[in-house]
Amino acid sequence: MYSVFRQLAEKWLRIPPEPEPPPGDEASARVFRAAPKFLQYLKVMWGITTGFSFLLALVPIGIIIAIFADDGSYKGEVVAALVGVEVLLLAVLSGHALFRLALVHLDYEKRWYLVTDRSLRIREGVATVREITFTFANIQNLSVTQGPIQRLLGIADLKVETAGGGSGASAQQHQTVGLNLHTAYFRGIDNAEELKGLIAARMRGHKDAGLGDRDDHHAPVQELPAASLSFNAALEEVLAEARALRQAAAKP
Amino acid sequence: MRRRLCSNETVPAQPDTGIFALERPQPSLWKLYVIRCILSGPAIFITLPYHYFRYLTLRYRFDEEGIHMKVGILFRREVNLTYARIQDIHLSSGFIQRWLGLADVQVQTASGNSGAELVIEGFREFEAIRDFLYSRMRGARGDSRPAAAAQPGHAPQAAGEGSVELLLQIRDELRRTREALETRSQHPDV
Repeated sequence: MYSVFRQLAEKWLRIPPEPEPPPGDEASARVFRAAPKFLQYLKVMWGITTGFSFLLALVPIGIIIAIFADDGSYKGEVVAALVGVEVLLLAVLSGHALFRLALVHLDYEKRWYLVTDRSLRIREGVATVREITFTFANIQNLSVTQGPIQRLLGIADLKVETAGGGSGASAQQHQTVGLNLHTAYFRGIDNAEELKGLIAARMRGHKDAGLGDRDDHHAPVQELPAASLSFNAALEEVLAEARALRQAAAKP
Repeated sequence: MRRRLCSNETVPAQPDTGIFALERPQPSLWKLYVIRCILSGPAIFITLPYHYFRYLTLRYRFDEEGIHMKVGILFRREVNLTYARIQDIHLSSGFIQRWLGLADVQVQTASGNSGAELVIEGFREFEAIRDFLYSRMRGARGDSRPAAAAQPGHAPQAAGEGSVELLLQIRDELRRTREALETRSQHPDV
């Protein structure tokens, strides 16, 4: 059922496939996806809003029906019509809720986070597809936000900001970008602290303020642990070999 | 002009020259405007002429320094933006745009504006434009430079890869020396 919906959406909305890493950085690109817990989180939020809308739609009519049913002065047709309206409302609401659930699922699936040595790229969206590209040289702020339900599920949002303000409307829960285009969100990731550390380490290499200065002077390059692992392994092998050589030479 | 634009898509080897040639948006941008105006309802009588002249007068120019956009017939607007000042690049497309094969490239500088300073709309080669801008924005350069140390983050890996090879060669050299030494100690008279 859902796969049919997804296929139809992909076909009719022309949802593009997985994003390409920025040119020149293909080798170092790491692709993240939102954590599976993020889907649970989205479903919980869906459940809350759906429950609330049902409550809002049904309670007033229920009360009216109860009053009319009690009051003998009204005819049965009025009550029947009201019940009919309520049934119709229920059907529409359920249909809408199911559609939104499918949309939530699709939104979770169509979400990619790319981090390379020099930049990050976030793709999200179903009807409107957005792809954001920041270079680490331009990033000003990193912050991790986590609500109570997110903490329970062990996920968090990482917010990345570049310079420039503006009072754009705050992004909605499932959006990466609100109206403020200087802000991007890694929504629902379970390694927010690790990713924050990674981006912060990349940012540290830049001496300037990230406000458009020409980047022809930089701090001395720091060895990054991930990149230097194989380097160290090779060093150790050379050391072992040199040791064996010394022992061979020391033999009488 | 159109033929040249189309041929750019098939020649990704020289994306820069293709981007420099871009000037007028595709005719499908006009279609997009019409669809949007129809969807906007009764306001179509105001929005359609406005967008018609916008489509007619919209001009972009990419050069070595930056992007220039010119638009408007009564009220003219000209935006100039240098590549080095670009803060972030957004690629945004609604599904109607995707039907027409278009997307908006929203380019921003560090101004106090929450919206985009410059929107490049109406080009089919939006991905190429985005990659072109990316390669010229701050912090993205480096692969054209011979000095790998000038690029933080990228440099350790690049240096690491080469030096691992080198280290392995040194190890092999050491190993051969040791083996030679061992054979000599086993046959001292050789």
